[in-house]
Amino acid sequence: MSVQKNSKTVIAGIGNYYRCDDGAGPQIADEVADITNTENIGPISEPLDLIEQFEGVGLAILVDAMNSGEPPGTIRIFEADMLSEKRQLTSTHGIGLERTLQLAVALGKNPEKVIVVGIEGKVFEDGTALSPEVARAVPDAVKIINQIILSEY
Amino acid sequence: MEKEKATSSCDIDVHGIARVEGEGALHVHIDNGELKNVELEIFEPPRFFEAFLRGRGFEEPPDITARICGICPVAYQMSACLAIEDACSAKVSDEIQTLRRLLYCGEWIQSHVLHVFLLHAPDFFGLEDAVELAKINRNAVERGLFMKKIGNKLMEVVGGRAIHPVNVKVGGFYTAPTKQDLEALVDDLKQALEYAVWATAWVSTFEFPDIVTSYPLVSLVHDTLYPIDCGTVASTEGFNVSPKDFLDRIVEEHVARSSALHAKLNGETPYLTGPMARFNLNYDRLTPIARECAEASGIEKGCRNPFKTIIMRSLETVVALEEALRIIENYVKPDPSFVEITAKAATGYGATEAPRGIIVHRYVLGSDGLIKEAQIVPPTSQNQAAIEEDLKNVIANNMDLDREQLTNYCETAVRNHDPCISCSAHFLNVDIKR
Repeated sequence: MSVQKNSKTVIAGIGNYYRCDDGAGPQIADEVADITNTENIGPISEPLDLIEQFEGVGLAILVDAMNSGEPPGTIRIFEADMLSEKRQLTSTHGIGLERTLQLAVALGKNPEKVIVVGIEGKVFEDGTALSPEVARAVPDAVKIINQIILSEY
Repeated sequence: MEKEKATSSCDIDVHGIARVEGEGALHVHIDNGELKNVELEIFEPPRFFEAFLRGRGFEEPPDITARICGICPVAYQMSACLAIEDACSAKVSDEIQTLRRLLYCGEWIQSHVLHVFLLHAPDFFGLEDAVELAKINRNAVERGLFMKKIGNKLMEVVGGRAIHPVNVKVGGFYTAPTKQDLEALVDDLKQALEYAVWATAWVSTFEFPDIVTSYPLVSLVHDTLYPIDCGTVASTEGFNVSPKDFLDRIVEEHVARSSALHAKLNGETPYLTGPMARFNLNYDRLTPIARECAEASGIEKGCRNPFKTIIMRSLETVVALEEALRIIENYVKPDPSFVEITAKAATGYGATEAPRGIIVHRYVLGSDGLIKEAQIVPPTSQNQAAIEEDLKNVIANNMDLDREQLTNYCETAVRNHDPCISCSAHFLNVDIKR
């Protein structure tokens, strides 16, 4: 599904620059924003903060490091199911991304489409350097996201 | 099919309590209609903060202890600063102390609003969470998110960022905001105050179970202010003492089911800190609009119903917003923004009011300025025993409910106190026998 031509596209990296590969999301988002002139609404550490920035957004691209057991540097892309009935525990430390998107829908503030780009991390210790595997995958992720942005319009 | 009554023999086990911070569980054992056992189990791993503060410099606790909690980092920073400054016989200017109170108001607003709207209110509608609440009352959730945002913004402007602020130091602030920086927040704070007033009326219409508690309430008190950033420690039992003497009155003990210490008065009596304690011990210090809201809501001084803490939290949100506006209106930028502190070999104590209750820090400093010993007493470890008392109370009065209803009721009884389990599990006692 393509989004409306006149709507806005935003990108947000989720993660912490100071936790090695956890910073991959924000780093990729920064590079994409520089190249494509896409509005960068990250980095995000609290998903709830996204809601207020979703107003008028057609396509939101969220980039996050993942820890799924795939080889480090693996890139996965999927469209978020904002209408999912899945539940997750909500803690005082906020609501997770999936439930945040569902809340955005309930408040009528959701983007038309949310694409999540995950990049498998390897090292999540203190530090700012990406692991070699993740660093090698960053240009690929940037390229793929650029193509997504172009193809949606 | 008839639902199983809790009056029969049953165990209720909630393995992961939702809408609280951290990892906790709840175990209830009922035998032949008689409540045999209630345990609030805290299995969040211990976090060793007191141990790794040892040997660190005397100026480090505000940054290190802020990391204990992403919701109430300012509470840790403020109690740490007061304790270190107490040890070093230092006094900050009134302007610095007022700016601290302003930062703390931001934390109260965002923490209280998060709890009232996103975590607690859904219980009163039998809903799973705020997403479900937004489907039936979008307006309420939108107002809550607006208020939370201005609380976060206030923390960013004064503290440098909303989570784990970086602008706080022993002796004051690295830099102080200008009057213009703060005035830019006024319109949104005024709007948030309107919403907070509305919220007190809204939550007052909820249906509350008729539960009355009898444990002592403990909170800070102050001559003129509603206690947030300073005060002495008072109780409904009649004592009013310094933070040092308060620590002498409580005994923290390790119970097998919990990685958080249980604190009791004199080692025997459960007690409660937090909104219900502050409200009852400081009713006369409510700010003017909060006082009007309290009167309009019908809640009275002396209210001991923990389910009504949602009203008290809403009233305290009004207090924090009124205080933020008052402080900004009269703001005088601290100059300098901090006082120089010289370390000395001494012990210092600091107590402030985190959104969930009193947080006390104690540090023993060496003449080299390094920390020899640290003690942190957060609200949730103080409140644990009282929460278990509430659970006994709720269960004893609701044996006729079926298991599902009683389970929900018990979870709500825990959430009444907005426990921060991650905060409570910062210790570990290790006994090595050789």
